[in-house]
Amino acid sequence: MSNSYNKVLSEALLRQAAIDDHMNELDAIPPAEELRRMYAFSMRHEARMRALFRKEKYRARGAAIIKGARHVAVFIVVTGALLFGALLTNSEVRATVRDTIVEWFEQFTRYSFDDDTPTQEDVSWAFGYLPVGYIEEETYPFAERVSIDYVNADGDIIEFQYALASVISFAIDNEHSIFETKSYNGQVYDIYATISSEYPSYVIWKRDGYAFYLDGYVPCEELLQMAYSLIQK
Amino acid sequence: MLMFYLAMLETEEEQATFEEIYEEFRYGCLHVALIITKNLAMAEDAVHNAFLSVIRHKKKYFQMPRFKLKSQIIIITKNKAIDLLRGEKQMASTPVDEFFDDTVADDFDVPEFVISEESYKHLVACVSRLPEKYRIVFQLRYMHDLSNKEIAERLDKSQQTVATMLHRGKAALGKLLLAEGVLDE
Repeated sequence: MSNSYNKVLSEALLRQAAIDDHMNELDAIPPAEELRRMYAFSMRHEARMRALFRKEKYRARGAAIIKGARHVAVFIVVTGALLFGALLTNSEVRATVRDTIVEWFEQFTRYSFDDDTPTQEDVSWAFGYLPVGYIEEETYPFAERVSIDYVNADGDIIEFQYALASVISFAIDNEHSIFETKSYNGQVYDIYATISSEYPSYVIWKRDGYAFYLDGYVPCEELLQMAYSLIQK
Repeated sequence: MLMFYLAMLETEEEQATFEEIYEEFRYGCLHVALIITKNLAMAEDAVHNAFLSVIRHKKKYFQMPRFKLKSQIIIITKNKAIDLLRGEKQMASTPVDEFFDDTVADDFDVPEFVISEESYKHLVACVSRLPEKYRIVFQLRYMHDLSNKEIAERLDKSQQTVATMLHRGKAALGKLLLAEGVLDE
């Protein structure tokens, strides 16, 4: 046989052998039902995957919301700017919104912060209080923000994020929650208490030049207790 | 507003698809990762890393037919398991890997001998005994017809590394066939 024929034959044989080898390998994997009886994933893994699903869900939802609502936002921001200017003539309103910009859209609320307060950078924060059964699971530092997951034995997650207020913004799902504010030790806390067990509650606040975000499937009071107990590490 | 709702629908569908894929394949992935790592925690890490990779390339994976998707997720899980093992420096203790010298780069052509059914079965058996790192590249190249660039994307490696692995995989197969006496010197 010629060299070129050999080469074609060789490649074809190797291709078929690799395919058959892989088919044999896939066939050797027991059916899903049997595998379920053979193995059990650890709690750590289940919690981590749930966190992954949630992060992906929020990321995808955020991207879709921003994409779809951009033109709505332009209209609302322009209208809002006019109203905002009028509202600022009221001194009480001016004091409240001095350095936090809260934009209300149809399905989410966006927080950004304009803070010129001198701040100490690289501060780490922790909670003096955690709901019963929750422990710190993982810390994900990304970009300028720090994200920490607190997990209980059932794999339920409370997510905590913080960053320098001047560099961060948050988008909160406002469709499935009731909004209210509370004050404690001179801090104002924005609360989004969920109205459905399918959605988490949120607490947003600002302190010492940092902005903080908490969400979880626990009663709002628990999130607030955590927020009130925040301390510098 | 129509665009807005369509965008939301797409993400919800993607989310549901991702969860469905995970639920369907996670035990199979754990099974193959355990075969490689023999360690549950490491196997779970491999499964987690594999699904992170699926998310990163979800536009490609979500369009695939189910069987093709299963095959690629299994291959990626194996690759992640190998990466984790390598990180733990345990790969060197894998007997079949010791047999092969990574510095060997002489190419190999499967010659004319592979004509009889028996010889072909030997060839398949030898492919199955190759180190996983080579099998994975063979499987992506031959089963899924992926280019070096596409394989590199799937495995988080450079195109050069993929080309080298293909080359060394063939060389390793040749050595194995010689060692088994299937091929003459």
